[in-house]
Amino acid sequence: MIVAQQKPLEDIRQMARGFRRLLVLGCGTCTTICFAGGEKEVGLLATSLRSVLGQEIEIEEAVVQRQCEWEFLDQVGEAVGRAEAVLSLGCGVGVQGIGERYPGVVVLPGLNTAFMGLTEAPGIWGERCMACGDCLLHRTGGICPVARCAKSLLNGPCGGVQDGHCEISPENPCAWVLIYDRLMQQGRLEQLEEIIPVRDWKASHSGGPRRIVRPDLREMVEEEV
Amino acid sequence: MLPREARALPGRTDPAWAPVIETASGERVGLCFGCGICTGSCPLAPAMDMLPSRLMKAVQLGLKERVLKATAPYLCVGCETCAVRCPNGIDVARVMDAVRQAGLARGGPVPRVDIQRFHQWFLRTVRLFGRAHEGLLSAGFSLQQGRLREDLPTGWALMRHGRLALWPHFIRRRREVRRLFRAIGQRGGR
Amino acid sequence: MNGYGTALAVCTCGGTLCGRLDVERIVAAPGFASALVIHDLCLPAGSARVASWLRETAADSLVVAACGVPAAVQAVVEVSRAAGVAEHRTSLVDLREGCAWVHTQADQATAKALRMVASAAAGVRESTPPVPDVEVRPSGRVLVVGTGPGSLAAAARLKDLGCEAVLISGTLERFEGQAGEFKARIRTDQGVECHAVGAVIAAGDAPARMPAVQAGQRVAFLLEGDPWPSVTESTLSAALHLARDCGCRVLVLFRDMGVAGRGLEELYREARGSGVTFVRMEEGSLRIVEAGGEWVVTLEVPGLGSVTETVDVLVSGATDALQGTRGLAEVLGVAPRKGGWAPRERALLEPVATERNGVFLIGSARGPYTTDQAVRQGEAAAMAALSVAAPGVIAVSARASVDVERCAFCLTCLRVCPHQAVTTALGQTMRVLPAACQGCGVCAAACPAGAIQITESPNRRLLAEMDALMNGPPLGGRPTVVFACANSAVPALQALGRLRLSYPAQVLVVPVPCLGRLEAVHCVRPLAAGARRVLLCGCYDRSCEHLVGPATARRVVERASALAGTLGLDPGAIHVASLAPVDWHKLGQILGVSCDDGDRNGGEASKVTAHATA
Repeated sequence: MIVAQQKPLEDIRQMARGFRRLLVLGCGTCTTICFAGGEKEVGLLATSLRSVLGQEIEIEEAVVQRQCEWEFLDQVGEAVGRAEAVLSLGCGVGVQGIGERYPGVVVLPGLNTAFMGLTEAPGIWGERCMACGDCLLHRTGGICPVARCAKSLLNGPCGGVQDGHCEISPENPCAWVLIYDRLMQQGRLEQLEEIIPVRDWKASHSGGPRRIVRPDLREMVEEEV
Repeated sequence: MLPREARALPGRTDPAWAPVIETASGERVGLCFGCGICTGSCPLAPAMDMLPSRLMKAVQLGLKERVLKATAPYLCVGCETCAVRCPNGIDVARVMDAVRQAGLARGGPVPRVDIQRFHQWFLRTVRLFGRAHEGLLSAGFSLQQGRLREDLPTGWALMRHGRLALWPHFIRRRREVRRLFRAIGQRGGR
Repeated sequence: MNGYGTALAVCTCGGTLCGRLDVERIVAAPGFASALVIHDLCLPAGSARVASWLRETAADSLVVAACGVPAAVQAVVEVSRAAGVAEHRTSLVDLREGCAWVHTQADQATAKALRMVASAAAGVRESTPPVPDVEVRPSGRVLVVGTGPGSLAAAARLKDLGCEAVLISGTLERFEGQAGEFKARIRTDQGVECHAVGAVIAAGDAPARMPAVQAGQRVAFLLEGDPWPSVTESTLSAALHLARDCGCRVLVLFRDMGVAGRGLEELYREARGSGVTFVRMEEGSLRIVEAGGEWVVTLEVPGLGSVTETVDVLVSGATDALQGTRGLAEVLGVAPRKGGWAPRERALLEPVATERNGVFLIGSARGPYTTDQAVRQGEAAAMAALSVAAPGVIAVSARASVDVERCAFCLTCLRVCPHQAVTTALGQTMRVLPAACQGCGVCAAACPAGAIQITESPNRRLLAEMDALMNGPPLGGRPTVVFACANSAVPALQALGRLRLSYPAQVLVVPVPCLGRLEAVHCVRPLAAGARRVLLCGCYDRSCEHLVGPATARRVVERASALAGTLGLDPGAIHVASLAPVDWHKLGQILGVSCDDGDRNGGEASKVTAHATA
């Protein structure tokens, strides 16, 4: 899932200054689960903003199921209409969704969208995937070197491994050490002997923003001509 | 099929032309809705380049150049089957006639010079003898068209069967017939 | 017996079925806790006997094998009530019109009957109780959009019928809810109004406003759009007036001339007689270029070649009116036709209704109707609206329901529903509106999580019935499975039965509410179980009550054929056929050919296709 963190209150306050009517809009899916932008966070943030911004601002609160669907955004059309700015507690996708659906209103990001990851333990989330568009997890024992290696190396560790940890971010284990251990555990070390060739990164974000069109699903909703 | 020269002409419409034909023919050309019954009835339609119903549409649109270049009005023999059958009561044959007159009035060569000549020989014999004389008509037409050699055997066969008189039949009041022709000529007819 | 808890009652229809089916074998069908033979289900004595027997068996479900007439259906309902068995746990199998009367060979017919009975039993065991009734309380108010003659006639008739007409002349901005309980938001010059109404009758915009035309100018009317018919009464009147009274040169370019209406033929003739030139356009034959304040119109006229006319004023009024209708249709949730008018399908079968219950379109919203046609439609719509909007309480049970545990909120069901019957609101789960749902099953086929189902026939019930149908005594040949649409193929099959026309016993019928209910897996499964062919028999595109049935069927067949190919099954064995409910003759041919032996490549398969698409 998408993991995000709320921006510091001071940053949010700076963004919200000057607007007289603000809508704080939460998201009921990813950012609720990572406790950054759900209903409770919306309530807390609105209260905090009211106390730091005082009389100058009128704050409304709402949460939609997801900010990345037009139909859900439509449900708060009236509230958006009343606001000068919308402070989104959704991920970056949601912030932009609001902007696309309601181009006349100013939209402010209340979160920093961090990564796609999983819940390692309650309260701890770790990045696992960078959406490179050409998954090679079958070749690395199910551990992603693109996302978990700071240098995204594809054929083994660099020389900077220190005590099993990455030289760039010492708090992280070296991804290739993890891969080695996993394959060893599975008795498939010979997999490491296969060289992963130089990649064409066009399928990743380096090739520009991506788009998927499923003609079979388009057929279901397309108007008959 | 329209002759190539006609098709190549720009199809610019002249909306003022349709009323001219309407006045000349006395028929309300606009009433035609293009059912095609006139074409279906016309015995000459298979030989026409512009079918009667299409010609009516062309007149409505004012396609003066194309209509005046068509040979169809010259093939019309005026049998009036079209007029009998038209659901809107339009006498298409009269419209054809009006188109022919418009072509002649404009001057210059007409699309079927041979047919025009045939008509002129016919009228010539009427003016001379007071009655049509096939002998002079066919001989004169044949000579003018330069087809004497092909027509001679036919002419000879017709004469042998008593169908082609050498000597014309003169009527008594030939002078009045000539006066008729003079009067028409004064009114601008040809 | 095995004690599954399902009881079987077989009615011999006064003994007449005994000659054509081996009733003893059917009564002895495996898998039933107890079985009974009677001869007179449709008589009070007969159904009473079944009820008391059923009570004794303490079975929790019941399959009745009899005929299919309404009296039998009613008898089963009464039996279930009297014996305390839930109605949804009962199933009636038509062994008469659906089997005995149409199959000539008794052993084959009996084999099929056994399969049908087993299928019903399997289905009944997977049945789910109906959704509890919801009370809809219409207030007697009906929204009337537009102020033309059709709308006014509707409003007047509504008043006579005891309803309140809410006439608006603003723009309808938002329209949601279900028949009996709609909420409409209208923007007027004074602001925004919200109305709660039971139904809406909408007429399109007034005839297009004419741009100012001066005397003597050259005018062309350009009437594109759906080619039925494109010339309106207002256009003819305007053209006549301009040509006859204003000395204008008037050209009318149209797609289709339809003057079926009082006074229209005379109007058309008068226009022609006054010098208006009418030219029919073929699609793609027109080109218009603006040059120095004038319009140069170039047209391909058959037989006359390319024709060019220059005009001062170009009126594409009909097109403008259509744009307005398209917007209205979108707000009302009704799909428009290509030319812009709505509704899309069944336009001639449903004179005023649309695919959305409670929404009625009349007059120029529907097509180029004349004033008095619009008035008649307005009155008809008022009477039709009465049934959903008259004050009172209506109890409705939704035919589809959402399992919120499985729902991932992907919104697919909401987007594909042809009747605007799925909704959600802030803080709410996905919900089916009972007065809007028509039970077609398109949502169930589209849902990736299987969360939304037709209550009467959830997917596991359909699959269980299909599997049981495919598994039984030999039929004398490989089976052909026919998915039969309730609106076309099912009535046609009933007609074949009543006329006692025979078709092969290898034909196994699976009724569905609409072909839109089907997915690729439904088509491939019978093939994998040994079927010779799978046929999807449904309505024509333009007749589908649910709009998308035939298109869905074609898409599903393509997908299923590809899937069949990868599974090593015959990819050419799945076909779609369209027919009208009265066309039993065509269905009989299709069924006969579909069971033909012989080479399949190009031979019989193409014959089936030829019949199917004829």
